[in-house]
Amino acid sequence: MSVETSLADTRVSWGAPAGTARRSLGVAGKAAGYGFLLLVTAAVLYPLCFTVSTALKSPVEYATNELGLVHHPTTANFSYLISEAQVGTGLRNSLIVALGAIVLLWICGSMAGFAVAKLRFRGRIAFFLVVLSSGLVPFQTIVAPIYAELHQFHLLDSYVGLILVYAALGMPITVFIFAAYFGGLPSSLIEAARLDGASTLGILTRVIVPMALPALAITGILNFVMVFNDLLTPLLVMQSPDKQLFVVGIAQALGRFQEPTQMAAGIVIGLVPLTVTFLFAQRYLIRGVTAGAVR
Amino acid sequence: MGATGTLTRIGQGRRLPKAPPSLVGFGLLLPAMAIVGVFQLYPLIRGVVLSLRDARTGALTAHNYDRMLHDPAWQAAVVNAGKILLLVPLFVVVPLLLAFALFQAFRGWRFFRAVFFLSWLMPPVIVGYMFTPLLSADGPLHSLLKPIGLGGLAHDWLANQHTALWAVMAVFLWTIFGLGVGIYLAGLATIPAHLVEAARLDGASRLRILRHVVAPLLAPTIALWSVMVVASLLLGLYGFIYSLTNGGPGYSTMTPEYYIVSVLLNELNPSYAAALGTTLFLGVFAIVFTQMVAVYRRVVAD
Repeated sequence: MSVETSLADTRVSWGAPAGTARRSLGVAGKAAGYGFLLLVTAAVLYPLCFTVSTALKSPVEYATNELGLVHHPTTANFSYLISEAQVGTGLRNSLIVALGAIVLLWICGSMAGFAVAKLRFRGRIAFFLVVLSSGLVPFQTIVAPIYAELHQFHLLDSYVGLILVYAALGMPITVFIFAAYFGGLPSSLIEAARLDGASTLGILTRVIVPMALPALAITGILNFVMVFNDLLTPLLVMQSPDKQLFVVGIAQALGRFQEPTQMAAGIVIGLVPLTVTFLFAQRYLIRGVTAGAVR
Repeated sequence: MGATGTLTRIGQGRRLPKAPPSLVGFGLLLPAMAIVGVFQLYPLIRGVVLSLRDARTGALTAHNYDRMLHDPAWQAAVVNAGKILLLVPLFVVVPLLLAFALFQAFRGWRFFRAVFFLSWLMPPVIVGYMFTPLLSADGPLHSLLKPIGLGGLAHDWLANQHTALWAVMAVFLWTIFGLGVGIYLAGLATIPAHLVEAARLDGASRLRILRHVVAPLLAPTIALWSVMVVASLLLGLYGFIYSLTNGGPGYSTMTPEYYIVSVLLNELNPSYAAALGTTLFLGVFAIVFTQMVAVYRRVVAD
């Protein structure tokens, strides 16, 4: 059941008009409520609009019109940025690492989630608790030993090293979501498949996974956001600029720049990929991050 | 509640006939276990060992912990962490009010939720760079404050050591409140409509319904969100500090997590970073654990 529908259901009776006296009170309350919401919306959107407007200004216009809306928009800042901050390379690297980590998490997470939710054997609850609580270990705590470990395995400055670290960081939430999702699927389906002679692995790959598309979408998008937004891990693992991830590349370029219009263009470019992702995957994203809250 | 509910449901799973479940089961758990073991749990143990060794000679020593106790940067970072935690109520209440407002059958609540969510999605380090000019003395905040007679309030928020930490917190609130709204709305959606209906038929006002019917039923969600807030305040600020202040001016925005990384990457001292990291783990664990026990005991008592 989606959060959307259930909230809408609750809303209908909650918002139903009662007596006239209450309705007139409701109008004042509603106005205040809308005012509050619009104020917050403005606070969210204003910095974004200000930055986009600055990014479209030429340095000449910026000198005379620092805070106002742009009058003569130019894309010069963006084209400068795209070559200077190696935007294309960064995007490619982020996609390689994110997809690698997501596929690895899907495979390991769905197997473990299935075992925890649908098989009965000693130690599965212990495993579940250990994996979940490993999510409580701050990355800053293991940052030094992980660095030493990657150095020892020759995994520094490699996609594989970064993918493995992200797989470990994303595992708790991924296993949790798969276990919760598989737990909600009827066991009768599995028993029917078993009576037809399917093996456990066959049941997992041919019965469960095709039904698990929502869980795949949710874990996929959550881990994508984790990889894409992260600064510290790629800063630690990657060393050569041509392997650096998108956000780190932008951040390092922003640290070098002095020209405010160029900085604004870099910020806008840095915000675009996930904004676009959000427009397409909003439903799964909101369900994903609120998944743990209401079970 | 979250994990507990899932655990209970899993516990009710029916025993499946035939197949040797233990072998197949462990086989299915193995890849996930291996990754978590090698890149989460082993580093945790190795970090403790590393922290007890001398950076140069490798001999066993408590030197790193001794240095920690007398390190002014670390002391400043711990004090700042304490100051930051004073803001937890703000981070809990602001999204709650917005979620309540959205819950009042507003047209377009999906639009507002989407807008609020958008800010959470943005890379923290980029958000920090976005706010740097906005918070400067000649920035747009100043031009907003001046006409309404608050021009005296406008100054370089990030360059002043009395305001820098609070400016970072404001940026963080801007980023994270939408996530809280989303989580509260998901919690509100689970409240049975007939309870609200019954209270209304009894003549209770909206405010009273919120206070006495909705809020108690929402307590588990509030508890979950407050634990998330504490964890992200202590461990999720790296990108913001990196771009906004770099820990300065002085040590005024230095936090434990930021200091650990600078010890590792700037001072190149992994043993000391491991000692600080282990201490951070114990501190965060103690705080979150205490919080969970306190909060869930109250939830159960209610």
